[in-house]
Formats: sequence, structure tokens, C-alpha cells
Amino acid sequence: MINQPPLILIVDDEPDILSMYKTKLERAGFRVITAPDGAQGIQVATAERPDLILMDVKLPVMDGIEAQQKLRENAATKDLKVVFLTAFSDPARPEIDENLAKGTGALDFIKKGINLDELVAKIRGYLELP
Amino acid sequence: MHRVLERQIKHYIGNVKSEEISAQWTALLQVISDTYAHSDDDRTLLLRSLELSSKEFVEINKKLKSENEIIEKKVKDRTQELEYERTKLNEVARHMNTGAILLDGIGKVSFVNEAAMRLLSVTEAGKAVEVFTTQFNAVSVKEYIKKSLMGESTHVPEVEVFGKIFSVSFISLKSEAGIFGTLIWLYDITASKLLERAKNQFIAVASHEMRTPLAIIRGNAELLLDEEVIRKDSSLTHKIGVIMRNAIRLLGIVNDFLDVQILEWKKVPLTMELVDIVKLLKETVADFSELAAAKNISLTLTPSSALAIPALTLDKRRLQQIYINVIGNAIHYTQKGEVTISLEKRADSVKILFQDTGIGIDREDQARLFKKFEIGKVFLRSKEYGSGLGLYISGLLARLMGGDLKLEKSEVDVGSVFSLTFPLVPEVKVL
Repeated sequence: MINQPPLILIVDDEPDILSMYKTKLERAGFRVITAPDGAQGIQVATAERPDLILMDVKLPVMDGIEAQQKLRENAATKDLKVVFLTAFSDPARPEIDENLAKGTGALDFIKKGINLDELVAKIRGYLELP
Repeated sequence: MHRVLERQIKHYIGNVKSEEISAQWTALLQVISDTYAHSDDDRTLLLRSLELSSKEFVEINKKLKSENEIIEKKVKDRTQELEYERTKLNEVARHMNTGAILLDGIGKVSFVNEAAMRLLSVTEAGKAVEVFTTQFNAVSVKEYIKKSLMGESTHVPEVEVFGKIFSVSFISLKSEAGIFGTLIWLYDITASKLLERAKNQFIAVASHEMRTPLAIIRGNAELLLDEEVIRKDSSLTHKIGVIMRNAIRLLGIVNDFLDVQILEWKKVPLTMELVDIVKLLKETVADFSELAAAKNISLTLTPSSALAIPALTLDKRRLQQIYINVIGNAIHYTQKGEVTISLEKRADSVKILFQDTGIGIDREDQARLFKKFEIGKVFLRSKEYGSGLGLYISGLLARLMGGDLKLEKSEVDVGSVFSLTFPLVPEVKVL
């Protein structure tokens, strides 16, 4: 297991976002799996136990915040590392901000417009890689 | 001899020959005669003078009468004029849509127009101020009335009451004799406010929706630039670079729109912490050095080591946002010369000055500088830059953090000086 590259789960309802981040992260040497909504995200996380979960907030079926709370409630998944990757300052839901996200036990809260190289650097940070 | 005397002599003494009267008697009779004559003269004079006086009186009386008539006519005319003016004002007041309440010099209601009664749902003018005070409890009505009776007018731009939005003004009425009352204006701005809010909401939602596609465009451009096939071809690299730069530019504009919504709704999540504003300034200036060099402009931060500016409690990210906006503007609007940044420390504040030798801002545009979406005449002379919201947002942010962002001065084709000021927390003196 130590020799295998880290496994990252990306949960987002936009196929284009998934393909974009998957390409970049795979190029950077990670293994990537994806899920299109909160409920499937939990299923995959429980089955695969990824080293890091990049999760969108606005998701169908179950949103990211709720999914994260559920992951925390489950002994099998409560120690999984989660980072919210999203556009905050959604005017329709102003209560969702960094503080709320971090309050759920997530590691960080990143904006979707981020430079891909920067994203990779941050991920290496979360995974405590050199 | 006086004839009256003659008659009297004849009557009392009878016919007498003058030779028979002794000399003394003659003298006495003469004196008496003279007295009668004088008396006659006096009487004539008196009658004459009475006659004259009487004539004068008649003249004066006539004059008074005619002047009186003139005055009465004037009064009548003037009363009519005033009536007319009053009717005019009354009609205007009656048909106005703005509520007007007039208070006299001691704060008593002296007039309430129909619009005010309608807006306050009262039928008696006397109840107007009472209802006004109780309903508009978010606004310190009594205090503002007091202030206006002392000469100070107040304007409350927005207050929400019974489901509507009003704008209220307390205007101090002055004349040469002093302050004679207060005029309270009540505007119902519900319709325009709701429209504004709907517009802002729409922009915010649209902007939010644009973020994801823009992120996808930018991300994919980045991925393309990583491909060897592209990297080997400089023309392809260039084009994809253009796509990426513009996606980033759009993202910036979208972020500005969203920032404005958050700031206007005052739901700004500010993370306040101790910030070394000079260190952050140095870092930001360093980030801009490449851009300045490319334009051949000198960008300098004059050292402030002598000033020992303490750390301030601010939101670091937002402070940097302001720095980036002001420095970015300075560089963008300067074709040649320099952008100089310096610091001033005063007893209770610290001021950062951003000076450029750029195209400057003319008087008219200066007034609109910190407003939304107004790039002004500058727009015609230089490529547009950003969303037009930069200074508006920076101004709001500075004020939210307790400071201020101002244009100190500017002259067309000479340059501009902007200042960013923050208060220094008073030092605790150890006694």
C-alpha cells in the first residue's frame, strides 16, 4: 500500500470539472476516482477509503456539507481527509462560508477557479508529501 | 367811540353831549371803547384761526381718508395674493406623493400633508408625529427632531417599516430670525429598492453560475499548456495563453460582482487578525515588480524602517485585495514614469500613499470615482480595466475595517495620489 500513489476521490456534479481535475491529478502522479453526488460520494468513500476527498458543496441528492457530516458520524470514514472545493459566496446560500466548512471538520475550503498547479501543491500539503 | 359802548351809554345814561362829559370820564370811556375794540380784534383773530384750522383739518381728514382707502386696497390685494400662494402650496402639498410633516420651533405639529397621513395610516394630523415615532423606531426620531431644532439636518437613506422601505429627512428650517421649525420628508422608495435588490440578486446568481464554467475553461487551458505537443509550438502556446488570461480576467470580474453583493449585504466574513501591513505591502509590491518592469515604470516603496508601525487588527486577505486594486490601477493607468508608495505615521493613524505619474483623473470623474460601474472619461482614453468595481469594493472594504480609502489629489496628465488610512489603536500609557 505504501508504494501505491495516493488515492484521491473527487465528488462533483459537473462532468467537466471531474475530467479536468482527474487529468491534472493523474498527471501529477495520483490515482483518482470520482462520484457525481453526495450519496454516491459516501458510498465510494466507504468502499475505497481514499487518502483525500475533494468535495463540492453544491451537490444533488445530498449536499457536500451533509455528506461530510455523515462521513464523520461513521467510524469507518471519520478519519478521512476532506477538502471542500467549491465556489463560496453563493448569494443564494450566504451562510455557507469557510467557517461553516471548517466547522464540519474539513481540512480546507478552496475556490474552484484555482490554478491547477496550486491545487496540486495544496494537495501535496494535505497529504503531507514533500 | 365803539358803537356798542355808544349804545350802552345811550341806554343807561341817555343822550349826552360830548362837551358835557368831563375829561376823566372821556378818558375812561375811551379805555373801555379800546377794550371793546381789542376784544373785537381778538375775536376776529380767533374766528379766523378757527376757520383756518377747520380748513386744515378738513384737508388732513380728506388726505387720511384717501390714504386709508389706498392701504385698505393694498391689504386686500396682499391678502388675496397670500390666499393664492397658500392655495398653491396647499394644492402642491395635497397632491405630492412625498409625505411632509411640518413642526414649529418647539416641535409641535403645524402641518401634515395628505401623503404623510396616508403613508403613516393616520386620519388626524395631530397623531402624525406620534405614529411616526412609534412606527419608525429604528430611526431615532426624537433625537433627529431635537437636532434639527438646533440647526442640524439629518438624512436617513433607508429604513424598513411595515413592509415598506422609506427614506426620511429631517430638515432644519432657518430664516434670519433663527430656526423656525422642522420639515420631515417621507419618501416611499420601496419600488425602486426592491428593483435594485432584484437586480443585484440577479447579477449575483448569474455571476455565481459563471464561476464554474470559467474555472473549467481556465483549467483546461492549463492542461493544454502542459501537453508536450502544445509546448513545442509557440504559436499554439500563445493562443492558449490568451484563452487562459481572459478566463482569469473574467473570473476576476465575476469575483468582483460577488464581492459587491456580499459587501452590500454586509454579510462579509472578515477574518480579523494582527497584520503587519508593511510586510504585506512589501510582498504585494514585489508581486507587481514584473508587471511594472514590463511597462518600464519604476515601482518603489520608500522604506519605512524609521516609522515602527505596529501590527493592526485587519483582514489580511481583504487588505491585500485593496493593495492589489490600488497598485494595479496605478500601474495600469501610468504609461511612463513611476509609481511611488510611502507611509506616514501620525499620532492616531497610519496612512499609506500611492502616487503615480499617470493619466490622472479630471474633476468630473473624481466625483464618481468610488461609485459602482463608473470608469468615467478615463475609459475613453485608456483600455478598460477590470469590472469597474475595484475602487468601490476597496472603499467599502477599507471602511468595513475601520479605515478609509481616498483620492488625495489628481491632475490630468500629471498623476494621482491615493491614500489608505487606518486608525492606530491608542497606546495604553503606563503611569
